[in-house]
Amino acid sequence: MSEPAATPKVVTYAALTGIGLLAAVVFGDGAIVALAAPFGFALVLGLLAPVDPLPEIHLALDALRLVEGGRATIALELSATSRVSRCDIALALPAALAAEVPTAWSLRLDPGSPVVIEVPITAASYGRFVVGPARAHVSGLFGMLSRAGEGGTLELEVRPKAEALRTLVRARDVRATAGDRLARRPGDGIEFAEVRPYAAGTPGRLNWRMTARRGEPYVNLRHPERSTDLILLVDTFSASALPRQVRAASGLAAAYLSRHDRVGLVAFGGVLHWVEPAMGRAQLERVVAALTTTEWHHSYAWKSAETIPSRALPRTGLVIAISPLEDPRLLNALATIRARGVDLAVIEPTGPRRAASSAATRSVAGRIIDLERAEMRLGFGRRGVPIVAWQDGDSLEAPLAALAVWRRQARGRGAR
Amino acid sequence: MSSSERRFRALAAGLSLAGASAVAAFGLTQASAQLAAPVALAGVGGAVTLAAALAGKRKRPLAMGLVLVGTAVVVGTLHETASTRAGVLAIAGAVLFCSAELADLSLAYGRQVEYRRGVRRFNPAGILGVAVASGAASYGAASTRGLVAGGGPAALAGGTVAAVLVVILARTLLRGRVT
Repeated sequence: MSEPAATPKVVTYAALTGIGLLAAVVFGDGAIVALAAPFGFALVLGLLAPVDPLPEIHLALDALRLVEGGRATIALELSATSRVSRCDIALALPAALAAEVPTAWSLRLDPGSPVVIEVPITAASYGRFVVGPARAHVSGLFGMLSRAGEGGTLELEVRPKAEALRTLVRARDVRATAGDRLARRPGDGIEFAEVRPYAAGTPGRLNWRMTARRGEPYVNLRHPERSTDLILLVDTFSASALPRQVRAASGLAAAYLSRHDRVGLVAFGGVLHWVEPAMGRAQLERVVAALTTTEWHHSYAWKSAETIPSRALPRTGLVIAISPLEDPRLLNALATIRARGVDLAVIEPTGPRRAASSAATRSVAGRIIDLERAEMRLGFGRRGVPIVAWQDGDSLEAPLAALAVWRRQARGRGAR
Repeated sequence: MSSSERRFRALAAGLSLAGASAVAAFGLTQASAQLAAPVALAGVGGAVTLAAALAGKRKRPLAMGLVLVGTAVVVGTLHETASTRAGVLAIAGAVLFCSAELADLSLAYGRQVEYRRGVRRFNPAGILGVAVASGAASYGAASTRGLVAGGGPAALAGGTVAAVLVVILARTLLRGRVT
């Protein structure tokens, strides 16, 4: 149990009493003591009176993991071994956890009858948070002495709210392992592809009807079902767009993993961290847990694609970068990744859709920045990297559909 | 902070300021013509400092405001007789103490707090008890001093009663452990 400590009020009242006594001595006027006497009385009484003990504090949460927007209840249990006439309790909560009731209480505690306070909270943002501690404060008579203590902390993980996606971008290459994607090259599969004249080494089954009609062997070709690799490259250089990027990456990871693809994550920014590609529910847990702790870290250090481990960024498979394309380090890394021949697509989170302002009302600087960014996008487009804008407030389906169209048209043009 | 909290805080601050201002005004009314200017300066300065501390939610200037108001009443009652002056200063001290406690109470309400059943926000009996006890002690001391100076049996009786009153009140306060 903490010992009672003097509050700043003791110093103030002692000073007022001292000033009165000093003035009485200096001016030889005993009546001045009467003016300061109440402060001296209160000081002496306050210092002599005992201070109630601090209560025991226990914190509990009905859920240790939430999704953004989810609700949980914190139970704060207070118990005392002797009567506490007044105890002030304040519960520290991170700003991202919004409490629906006050988080400071003033209450009386009796021995043998613990008090339980329930605090419903709503997770406004994703992240890993510490709930608590609950700080207790018990004051003595006139607030001259007080005991202060704290107790109980809990960890709460709030995961990003992912959008359920139906439109997905197909990777250029597939892996040799089975999955849900139809490979372009014919092989053993379920989905019918075409009928071809038989040649040595052609996979597929003989089409008896066609063979009988044409007089030479024909075979049915099918598309084999294969899995792909998806690497989500999240730009953590920009703080403002990071929550949207994390939510998008979370949704994409869930959608691709549900289709038996391998998914990996690279968070590229002030601090680099990655999750190597793998498949299954455990991988979804790993990716979402990594995204939950993804933060913006300010850094002037130069970062390039060479800092990303090769096993986290395989050459086969699709890399979807989610970035506002503002930091030159990331632009350089994207260019390097593409130069290695990696299949790359970029989703660019932008602000809410606004009415196009006329050239006269826009500043010259603004127009120059727009031109530079347009030139940058064209440059990536020429290298076979589509960049699609994702307006704030829109579904992620829209940029994914645009990406799919761009890549289909590019395939038609023969681009790789 | 809820509206009832805001009202409570404003009421405590208003009462505190009114008490200190009344003491300063009393000092000014009692001051002689030669001392009226410094008494007015100290009194108004004290009240303004107190008001600024309450408005700015700062505790440190509170003591300065109280010292200035106290100075005004001490200087303002210089020409009074010793016994009258002791009584006046004792009452002024009690009022200033109540003002200080109310101001402290007002500044303590700065955020949203839920008060559960059975909790006393403040204890006016405790504050008034100390104020009265202090006044009684002062009176007792003054009477005893009068006895020493040849004040007679009345001074003795007054001093004894005052001292007993102080002891009883102090004991009650300590037992009740009011906060």
